[in-house]
Amino acid sequence: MHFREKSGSISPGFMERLLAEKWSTSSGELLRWLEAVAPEIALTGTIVFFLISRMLFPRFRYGAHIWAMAGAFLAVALALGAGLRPVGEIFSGVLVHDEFGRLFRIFLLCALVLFVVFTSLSRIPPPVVATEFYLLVFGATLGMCFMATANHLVMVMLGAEMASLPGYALVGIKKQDRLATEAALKYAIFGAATSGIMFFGLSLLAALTGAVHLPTMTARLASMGNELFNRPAELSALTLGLIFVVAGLGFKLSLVPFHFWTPDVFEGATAEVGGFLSVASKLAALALLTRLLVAWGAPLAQAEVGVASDVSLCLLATDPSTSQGSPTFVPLRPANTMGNLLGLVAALTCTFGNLAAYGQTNLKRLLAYSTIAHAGYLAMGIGAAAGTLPSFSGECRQLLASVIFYASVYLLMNLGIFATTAFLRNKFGTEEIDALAGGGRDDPALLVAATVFLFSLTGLPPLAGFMAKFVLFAAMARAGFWSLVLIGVVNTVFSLFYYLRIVRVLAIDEPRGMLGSVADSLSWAQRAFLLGLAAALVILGIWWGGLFAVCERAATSLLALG
Amino acid sequence: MLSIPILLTIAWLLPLGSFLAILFWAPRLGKHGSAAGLLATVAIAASFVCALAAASLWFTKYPIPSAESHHPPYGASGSQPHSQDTRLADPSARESASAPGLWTQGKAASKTQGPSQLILWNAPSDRSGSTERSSRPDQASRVSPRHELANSPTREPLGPVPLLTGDWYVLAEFGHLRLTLGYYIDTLTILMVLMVTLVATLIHIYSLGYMHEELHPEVSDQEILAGDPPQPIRRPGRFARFFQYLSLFCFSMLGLVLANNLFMIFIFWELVGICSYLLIGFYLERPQAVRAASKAFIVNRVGDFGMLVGLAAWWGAAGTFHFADSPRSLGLFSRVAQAELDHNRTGQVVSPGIREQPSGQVVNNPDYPERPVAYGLLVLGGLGVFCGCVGKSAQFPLHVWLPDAMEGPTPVSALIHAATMVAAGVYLVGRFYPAFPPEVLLVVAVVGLASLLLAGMMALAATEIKRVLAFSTISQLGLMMFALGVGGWTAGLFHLLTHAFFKALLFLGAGSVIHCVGTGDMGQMGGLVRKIPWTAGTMLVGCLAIAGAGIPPWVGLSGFHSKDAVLAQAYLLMNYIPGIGHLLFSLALIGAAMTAFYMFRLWYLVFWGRPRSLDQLHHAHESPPVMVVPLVVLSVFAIIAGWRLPGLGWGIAPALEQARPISFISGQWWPWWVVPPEAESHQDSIHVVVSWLAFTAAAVGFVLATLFYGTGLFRLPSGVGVLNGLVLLLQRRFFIDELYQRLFVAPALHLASWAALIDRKIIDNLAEKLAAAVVAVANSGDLLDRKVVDGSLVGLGQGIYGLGRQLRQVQTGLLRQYLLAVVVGTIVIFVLVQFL
Repeated sequence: MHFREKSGSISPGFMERLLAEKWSTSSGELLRWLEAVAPEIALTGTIVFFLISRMLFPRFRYGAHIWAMAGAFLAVALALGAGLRPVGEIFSGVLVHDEFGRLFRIFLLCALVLFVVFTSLSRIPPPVVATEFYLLVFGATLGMCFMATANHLVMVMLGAEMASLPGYALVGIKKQDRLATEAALKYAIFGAATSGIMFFGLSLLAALTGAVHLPTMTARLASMGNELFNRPAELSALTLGLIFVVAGLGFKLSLVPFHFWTPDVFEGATAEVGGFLSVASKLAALALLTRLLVAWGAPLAQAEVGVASDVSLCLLATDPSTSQGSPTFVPLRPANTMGNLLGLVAALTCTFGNLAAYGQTNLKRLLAYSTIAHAGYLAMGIGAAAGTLPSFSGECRQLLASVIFYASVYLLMNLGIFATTAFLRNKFGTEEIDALAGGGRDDPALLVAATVFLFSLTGLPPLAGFMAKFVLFAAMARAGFWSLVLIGVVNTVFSLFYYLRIVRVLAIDEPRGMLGSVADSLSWAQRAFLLGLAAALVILGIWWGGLFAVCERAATSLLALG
Repeated sequence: MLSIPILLTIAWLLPLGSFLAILFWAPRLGKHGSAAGLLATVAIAASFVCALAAASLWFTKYPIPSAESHHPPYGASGSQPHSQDTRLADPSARESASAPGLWTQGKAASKTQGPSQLILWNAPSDRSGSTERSSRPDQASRVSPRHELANSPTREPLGPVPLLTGDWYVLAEFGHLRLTLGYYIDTLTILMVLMVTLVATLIHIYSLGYMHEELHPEVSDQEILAGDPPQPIRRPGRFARFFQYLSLFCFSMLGLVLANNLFMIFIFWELVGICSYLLIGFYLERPQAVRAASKAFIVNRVGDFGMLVGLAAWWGAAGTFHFADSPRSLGLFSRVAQAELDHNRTGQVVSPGIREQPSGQVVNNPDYPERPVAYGLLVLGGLGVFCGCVGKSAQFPLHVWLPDAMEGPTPVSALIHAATMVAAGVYLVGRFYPAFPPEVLLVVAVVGLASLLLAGMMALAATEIKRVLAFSTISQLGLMMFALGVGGWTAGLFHLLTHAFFKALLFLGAGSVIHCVGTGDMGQMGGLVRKIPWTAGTMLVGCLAIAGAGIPPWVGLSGFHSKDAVLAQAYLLMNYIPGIGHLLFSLALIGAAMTAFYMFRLWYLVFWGRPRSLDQLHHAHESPPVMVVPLVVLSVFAIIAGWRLPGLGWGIAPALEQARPISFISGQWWPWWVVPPEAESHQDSIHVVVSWLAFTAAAVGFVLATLFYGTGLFRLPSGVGVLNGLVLLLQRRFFIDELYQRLFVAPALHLASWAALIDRKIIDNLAEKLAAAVVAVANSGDLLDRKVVDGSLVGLGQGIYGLGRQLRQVQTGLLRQYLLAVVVGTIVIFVLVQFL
């Protein structure tokens, strides 16, 4: 394991360190740091610009989406300009800019750009609240960028809260809508509860290791090593802390049993907000969860403790060393157990999401369950990766890379299907599936795009969704998680039913009488947006090697194998 | 920068570009596609410019040897290094002339010999063009026996044959077999590309005028009447399509000329065939045009069947598709040459010009130790490829398609007859000359001579202007084949190149006549010389050129020089093989006389005498300048193409000499048949005699034509049964078409109708029964599927669906319960971790 921490001494508090180093840092280094966070600065600048302009110019809100687009494009351009070159720790170790974090930052900012374009096409938000809407979105994205690059428990907390709080408001942005208000309240309370749990977990871990800087915590855990297992109380606290953190992030990822908010919130919120939450928020949570699991799991996985082998340690992984059943001691790896548990949770999530989607009548609610199911696929990969942690052979790296790749593909296809939902709502004024019967018949572009998104979500070749599932399952199979692969494949079959049902309703079913009356056909820009996303899925489904190579590099940097 | 291969590639691809542009954007190219014609013309003209640039580069790099002293020019007398007598008298010279067994490398016999070829191989990867190198340094040592023999004091060492070859693109690779697109550039290629692009450019320009009618949105075709009352059929104009096909035609022909392997040859060979099909059937509303196009295509299939067999045989013999050596392996020519060398090395000379039966042993090629070149395969390959050439060049007995092909627009006829289609056959024989064993060459000579005479006779009685020209083409191509068959490589190809000019001229002139008069029937013409003087004048030049007019033995029109060279080679054959040689030579002379006769018969019937149809004469008017200018340009070439540049001695013939390949001299199977070395035919002793003989033959034809048709002094007596029968025989083309109809077409149709009957009565019946059985099986399967398989699946699906609905119940919407679930879930996980 390669540690970025230079000294092994107990680090002083975060503020002290920052103050201490403020004077010792050359201005060149500070400039370098500022340069590294240029996209975040652009986001912040846009937020400030919004605040001031709204106050000074009352009519500003009509052009808000233009300015939002400008800010988002600037941010993504800066992020792309900075590229994937690792910078290392910045701001005295508060943030870390490795390839992993930077790749996720690019994903998040791309999602932001797509989202801003999408909202300016779908005419939500209404101009009255447009400024506030984009302000909240930019604020949430800023928090998510910090989540992706956090290297310090304070930044973890800050990022998670900055990403969550605007989300609560966004859900309730249609304040006269009773359903939306209820959803916002549920989301806020649920979020508050899980945040509390997560922070409790973080404080437990900080207390145990005596550090808040992630690499330092890694080093501490590694140095504690085997002796940790001789102190059951501390071990329990450690486990509890880990579980709490997983619970907090599981809320954001909507893993079972922390998923209950998802259908209610997605049904209450507009499709646009649903798209944002299901894509950007999940990606950020995924990045943070992965980083934390690697940071804490790797040293724990290296520590070994003798335990009689009659205890079934591996719930899901078929590890030949444990399945022989010899009476001797075999290594117990808590991190692997955690990983296996996460895999179990993921399998449950996936199955639950797919099955519960069956009986849904509301398109957004159905998509909420689909989102849960996809979070399950992603978490399966992370669980498997954590399960293979001590082995630095290619397996863990492959698993992480396939998860990242899946996340990027998921970004495109999920945003696409939410955009389709929003445009259908604009056209027909409803989100009930049955009411949309025959809704795609007079608009081939929409129908083709929707079909591509849904097929890709299902995972049918030759679309990107298939490749994403394929590399993920292939990596899990190579690492020996055959049961997870089996569950994933069965779930894919399950999901086929309800995804294709939407296609059937849109394309084949006879239109109901009232459909034509409110029809307001899509603009060319809306069609182009949908077709562009669909085309990207087709292209990524065929030429996926380049993106996957980038994902592999990111995974390598996270594991510090580079 | 612009190396020769790149220039020629550009020249090759430009027509393709024009073809594609017209294909995709025809509707946008001007009004009714008027810009398409311009585009195609500009493309082919640019090709010509590229070819010209390439040629100038080529001849700067590999200058034509100014061999005034060694080369007696065809016209003017030069020095006389070796008379036939000295050759026979001087034993050393005799030995050296005969012992190598191969009349190798160009030049006169005075300077025979040298390593077979210096191959300049451009690898496809390094495109700089400057990386020419001798690929096989061991080649010189390999061919050293010949080299030593050639080093008699009277012989100068000969430079290698310049050759550029390489691959552009590898299509596929199967073991040893490489399918590539590549180029093989020697002087023959350069000259062919020049000729094709030049003639094609002029024909394109001419077509701009000739096809003018097609520019109208609606064209009425006077040739076919339909409806009641009968009216000319109306159809949309197809100007753009015509030029599209012309461009494809030029691209195909240039590809054929540039090809460096058998595979590419075959591709472009077939492309040329399909282009001719498309263009002959251009007036697709006319049934006779469609029939002619199909006939051309099907007859060519017969030839191409042989061609495929031949290519396969050669591949089997040589193990490679490439002609030239490449860094990977020896090419076809080298392998053949080596086989011949090894075989001839064991032969002995018993008398001048006659070689003993060789042992027939073939030494293994070091590169393919397991596969010696089998002589039988070589002969089979040669015969097969020649069979393809017979079809393409319309030689007897596959000549039947060419007269019918006159149904196409006249510029197409000109293109087919001069530059592209029929020239391809002769070119291919010339290109594969090194691989043709003497046995095959004899077949080539005989078929050529038969075509020369038969087609000449048919031309005597033809009444349609374009048919006369078509027969004359067959006849002249026969002369070229004959020349190649008796060893006159330069002579045959020289005649091919000169013929291209005057035959294009004659066809375009005929088109001009038809354009003016509105009919091709010579019975309705006469006396047009005053009405259309330019056409008449240029046509006269064409007739003089094809007849071989000149002042023997010095100078004449282009046909004079080339025909002289051919006949000289035939004359030389008399010295080598008396008897057969005399017969062949005299038949060739008769052919020359016939040529003069029927060409002037044509000219007199069209332009001279009293108009036979005043109505037609009344309407006649000279063609527009866009049609006349190409005629004038072509007539200039028809006059000068055979000349040499004074002082330098440059000309087509010496340039061709530069590319002369090694070739066989005597075969294994018929050793009495010897291919005489062409260099000897350049001697003045032969040249003077032959030029006078040829001139006399042409003059006899001319005088007879003048007597019968020019002056009206003599007339063919009508009513004489024998003569009438003869004329009928000639006009019906010896009933060969009828014979084919009876022998092949009718049986084929019968067979087809029988097959159709069997199909309908028996096979269809059976199929229906079978289908019913399958349906029955499927029905039972369907029942099984629905009851058993679907039942279980539906059950499963309903189960899952029900489970899903059940899961929905969990989502109560009560926040309290949600949070409880979180807490319980966390605890459960903790417990699981802690106690498992």
